Amino acid sequence: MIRTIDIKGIVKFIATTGTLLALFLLSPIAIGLLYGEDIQAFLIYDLALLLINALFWFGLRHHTIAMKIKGSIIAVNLIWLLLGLAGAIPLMLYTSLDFSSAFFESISGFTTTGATVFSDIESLPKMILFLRSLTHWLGGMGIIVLGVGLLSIINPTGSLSMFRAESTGISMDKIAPKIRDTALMLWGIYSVLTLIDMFLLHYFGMGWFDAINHAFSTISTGGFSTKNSSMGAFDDGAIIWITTFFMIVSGINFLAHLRFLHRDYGGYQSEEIRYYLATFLLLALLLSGVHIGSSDMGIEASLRHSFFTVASVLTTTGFATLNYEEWGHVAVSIVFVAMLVGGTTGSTAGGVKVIRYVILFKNMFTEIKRTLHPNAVLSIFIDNKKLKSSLLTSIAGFFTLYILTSVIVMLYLYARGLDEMSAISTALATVGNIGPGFGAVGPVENYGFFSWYDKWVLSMAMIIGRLECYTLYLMLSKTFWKRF
Amino acid sequence: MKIIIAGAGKVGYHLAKTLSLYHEITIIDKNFEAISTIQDDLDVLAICGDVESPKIYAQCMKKVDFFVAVTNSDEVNMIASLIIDDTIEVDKKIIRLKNSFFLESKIFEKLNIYATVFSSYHVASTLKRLLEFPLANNVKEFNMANFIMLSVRVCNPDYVGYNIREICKEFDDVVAIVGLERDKHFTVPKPSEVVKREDLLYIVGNKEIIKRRYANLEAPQKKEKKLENCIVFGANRVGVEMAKVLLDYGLEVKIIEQNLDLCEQASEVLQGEAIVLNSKYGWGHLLKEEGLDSADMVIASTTNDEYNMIKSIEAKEVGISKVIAINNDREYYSLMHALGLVVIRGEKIDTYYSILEQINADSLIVQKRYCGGRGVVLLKEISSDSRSLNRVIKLPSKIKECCDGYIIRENNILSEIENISPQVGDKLILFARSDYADTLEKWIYQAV
Repeated sequence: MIRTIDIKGIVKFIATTGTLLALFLLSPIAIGLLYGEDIQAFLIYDLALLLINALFWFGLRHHTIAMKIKGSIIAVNLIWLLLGLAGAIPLMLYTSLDFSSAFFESISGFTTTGATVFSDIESLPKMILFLRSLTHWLGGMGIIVLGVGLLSIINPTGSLSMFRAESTGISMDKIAPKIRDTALMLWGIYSVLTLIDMFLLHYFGMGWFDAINHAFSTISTGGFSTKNSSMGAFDDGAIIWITTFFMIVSGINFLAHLRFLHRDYGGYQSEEIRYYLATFLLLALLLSGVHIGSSDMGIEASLRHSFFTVASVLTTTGFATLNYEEWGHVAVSIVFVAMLVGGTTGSTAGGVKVIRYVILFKNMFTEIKRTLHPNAVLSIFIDNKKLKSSLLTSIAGFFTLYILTSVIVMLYLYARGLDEMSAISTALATVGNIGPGFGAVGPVENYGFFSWYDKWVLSMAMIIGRLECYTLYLMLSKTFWKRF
Repeated sequence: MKIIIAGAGKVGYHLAKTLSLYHEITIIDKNFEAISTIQDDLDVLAICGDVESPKIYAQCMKKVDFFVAVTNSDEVNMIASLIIDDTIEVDKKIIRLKNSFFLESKIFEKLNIYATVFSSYHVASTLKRLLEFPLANNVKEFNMANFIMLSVRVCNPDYVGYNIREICKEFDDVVAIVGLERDKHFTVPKPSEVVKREDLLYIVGNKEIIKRRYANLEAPQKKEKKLENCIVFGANRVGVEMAKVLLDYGLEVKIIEQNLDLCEQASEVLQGEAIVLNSKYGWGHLLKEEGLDSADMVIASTTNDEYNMIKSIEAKEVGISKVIAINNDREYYSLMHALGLVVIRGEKIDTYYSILEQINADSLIVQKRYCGGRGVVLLKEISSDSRSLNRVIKLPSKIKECCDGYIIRENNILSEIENISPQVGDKLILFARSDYADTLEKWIYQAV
């Protein structure tokens, strides 16, 4: 088995990603310098990280990566574990977190979950706050996608399977012949959106530091904030509406945004995006209705908070303004539905993704039709294209794994003593990379109270969710490790 | 370079696969299955749609270097090459055509087509070369003045025990021996290598000189046995083109085909000059009736490789010495070669190689395979911006060990390339075992 895997290739890829990460980690150090914080330990750590990765990379610079699917899967899984580790160390250096909590926080950042273990966020050093947002931003579009883009400039082949291993299930469309062009263009538009969001937030009254952190968090649909009360601290009409807008935009396939830049509006007309927007509007209006009925806020404020909440949960961002649990059971049910749905494919959002539901529902209706017309030849169409039947089975497999993972995490948490609603919502919030849930992990709570082994279970759940189940579970399969 | 390929059949797929290593490829086809396979396998942009529809090209790049049309239909290929002009600026267009009546047509100039690939015709011309060298095992042509590569089996006891250098002397030292197959094992021989009986030698050099001398290696003073009667299995396009070539040589030709429609078409095209036999009920009874066992040559040219192999082996069993098989599926190439058959590339494989050569012809390295794909030839023309121009080419020891290098200047093949400074128009040519192809190619890209 070992012989068939390009181990040097895996190491080189990890080293490339690691070098990239170390370079990005210079930015929180710069922030620390700017705010006069003690950067020494962070700087030494980052330089060591850079040196080790660069050395590996230099040693393997002549190696041509020829990774097949197995090698890519190993590499992706390893990178995610190592990312968690690399992000955890500075947290341990500057806060009183133990290793499990730091790893949890770091994985929560890279997977754009946004579940935090800190209860007093505002007391953290600025550079640590920025580091948390940066992990979101790097994880959102996928640091591996960036790695693939940069690497294939050096190495023309062998990175295709990597690209697929990080985003399994539904194949990503390309708009340029070479994967590196697509990957770099995606990062380009991702950066542009972040900049626009940042400037708008600043224009409407946020300080530069908060604006850049929240922009990172919003566009990556992460959810870490620099304030204890999350976005509640900026209860200003414009800022909330802007963030709502950008969360929804980030939940849309980035390829559609790219095509929009090329003056092709067809991307937004795909069935998935239409269903996604329809779901959003429906849930948001329902929640507004509930909110208007149950509180004495004005109509605009009710709409604002409801739209914000649904956008935040639907795109798996996890920001909060108000505690939606106080709005009654109907409100909780509505938010619960949003938790189950998720964003669209090719976006930074996590969760199950709208397209899978669309396909499943279409399949359901087809089956009903088939019962009524036993001899009919029926197919499922998405965007006027016939769906491959293998995709349907792959989606069924995904759902099985997704539900299985959630149920196992849920049962585990229930056995650990959480109440029903907290256990269910924690499982969904971690596997779906959302962040806050209900009850013990509600929008005004945090994950700090979990024991160290709970945090490891939840960290794994987040990685499994981020890699859309298959990538990690594949490694558990016996055939994966067999040569024949 | 940016290349658009219309048609994702076998040819399109393999072209995309090879070209995607160094170029940006967009491939278009109606067949959803084919496109999704390509999406999964290759780093190219695969679009599902009709190549005749102008809309489809709106999704491609605005300016491309090559447009290659390799769908199954001649008409579609031509129309697609017209339609594409509407939306995209194309530098060069290459289309694959099947009907040979387009051969004489001037329409391609009007259509602004850079090159056409007539594979069936091309395959038949390979046969023509084989007929020119009846004792050779195989003959390959290079795209340059009068150079061929010929493989011949050493059966003449006079030459057994000679080393490679001495054999080259027999050819006035103007050829190079670049391959040796012994006991199904292929090497690029050293000059001191001693030749044994039944060795298969690969000789490169001027066509005329090789033609005069090569037969001596095969047999002592044996008169070339004259070919008279020939059987062709399969009355498809290639079979018919082959029959035409054979008829031109004045041979008696009988074509055997199972499909009645194809038989009728073939007999119409050949106008009764060759006898077309319908063998719906097997060819066993035809053997006696038609005297097929007294044929001198059999060509198995159906599109089914398994069938071709079986027919070839059968023919050998009957005692026919010259058996040629057409290879349609690259996976069978080595097997056919190992069975001791003379193998000619079939239409699709030929189209693939022809188009690759057209695209690479500009500046890049031409790569050819020989000896059942076990040997590789890399050819690079020295242009005015080559790095090694007027400077001696230094072969790193790693490279020197694995390959045999020559420089071709006009009609001469010069060995000891490390003493020559290349000039514009010279061609550097390297021969090696095919496992070294990537290493060599990389070196040529960087150093030459």
